[in-house]
Amino acid sequence: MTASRSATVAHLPQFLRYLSGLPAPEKTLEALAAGPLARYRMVGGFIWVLVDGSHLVSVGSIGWPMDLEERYSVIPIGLDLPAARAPREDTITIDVAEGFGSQYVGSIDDEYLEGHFAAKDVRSVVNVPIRHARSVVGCFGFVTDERWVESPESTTLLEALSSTLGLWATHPGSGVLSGPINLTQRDWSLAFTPRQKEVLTLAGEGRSNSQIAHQLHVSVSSVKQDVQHMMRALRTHSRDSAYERAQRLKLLD
Amino acid sequence: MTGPLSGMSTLLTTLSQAAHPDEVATALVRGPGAAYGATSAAILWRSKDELFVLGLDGYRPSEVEGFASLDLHRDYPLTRAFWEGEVIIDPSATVAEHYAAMRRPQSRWRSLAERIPDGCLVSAPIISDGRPIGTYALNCASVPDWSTLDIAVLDAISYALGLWLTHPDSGLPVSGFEADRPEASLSSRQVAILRMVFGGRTNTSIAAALGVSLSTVKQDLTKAMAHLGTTDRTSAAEAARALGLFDERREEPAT
Repeated sequence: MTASRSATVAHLPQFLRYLSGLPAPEKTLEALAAGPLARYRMVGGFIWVLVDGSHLVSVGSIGWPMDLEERYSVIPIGLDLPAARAPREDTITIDVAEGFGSQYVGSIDDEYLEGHFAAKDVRSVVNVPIRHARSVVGCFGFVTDERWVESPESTTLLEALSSTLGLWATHPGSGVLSGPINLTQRDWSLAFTPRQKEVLTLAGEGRSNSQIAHQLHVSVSSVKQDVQHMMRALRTHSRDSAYERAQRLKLLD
Repeated sequence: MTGPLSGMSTLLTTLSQAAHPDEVATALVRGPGAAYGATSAAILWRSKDELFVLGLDGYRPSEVEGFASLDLHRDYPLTRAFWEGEVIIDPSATVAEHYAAMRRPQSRWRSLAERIPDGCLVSAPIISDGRPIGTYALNCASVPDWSTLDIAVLDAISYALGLWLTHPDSGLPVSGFEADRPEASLSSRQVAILRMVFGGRTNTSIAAALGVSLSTVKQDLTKAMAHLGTTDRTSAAEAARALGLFDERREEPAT
């Protein structure tokens, strides 16, 4: 147990190092297969992102023939397949490949998928919701040619991958998911808005809150809020040192 | 289960939740740090020639009062971790002695080190796309028998924090990943110029000595200043000397 856990953990730094270079989805899948999932014998995988809350759109896959890649390039979220259920219900799904078709009778793909699974000797089908900022942004699905044995360790690993892939997919540098996603309200940021910059600049010149409010045509309470926000972000309790720090960090340009 | 894997999972989950840096510091202590008896953690972001404190957890008020940033060109464990791009582990006793002996009393570190007398201070870089963009500190009450696995976990934290710091969620004004990336290293001519700047020569006399134009000297200096994170030539030269760039490279460019 200890040895196997070490094996998995030992792959994480390499994987994270690779991921911090923001590789393309196929490269990310290859790194997963060669790294954290190597001992689970991942032989094929997909990464989908959730678009408009209604469809999963594939951004990359490895290990599959082109017709299968195409067939699963877009999956409606309501479809009776684990790849749709995992992100829909925000739960990790683990299915046995044998009899996969009969479990999903009536779904479009019973026999079709079984044929492909047999060809690759697939034993387990694992789907992991990709999470970011407390919402599901996609799904990572993979198959193994060994039977997946659930353990606290394997679950922890999948949870870690869910968050890690979320950071990667929503990172502007990866180019996977563009545009803002439903971020929870954040009360901390050094990326000040133009008005916050004006407020702090005026505060730094010694103006009072009411003078600033008057000059910028906003209420005194919103000036106070802005100043509070910036003092918190800059880890200071005085407006003068907030101004001084913001200037030094070139946050007011 | 408080193994390194579940610790990393805790940290990664926090990173993916658009958390405040203080919460990330807490996740460092309670997640991967738990296995090493961590009592406090700090996260610092490099801005120009400073390491700016973003997140803290577990420090005493007296230890963090007025603790906003570190001068990148001073010799601290955290600045060394940044420049060397590697994990540095100092036993508490060494740190306490070191700062007790310094002329400017660094009571903050002494207090911290004395609080965990049998522990150690871990200083490590935060790395994005192969380049340090900040540092983190993890202060542990015990000194584990650091195995390669433990060091691998500390490395994993470096990359995980790098992914987070360059993500818009971290709340930083620039994405480190997209920001202008300085050259991987300074050219030998840039080092030669810095050495002459250190010797007090003017740009004109440096240009004449190297047989290049004045604008080339100025351009080289601008690039070198960006690389070293300084805004004036004198500090750039001092930084280059502090980094040992003058010792390592003896070869002069062809003049």
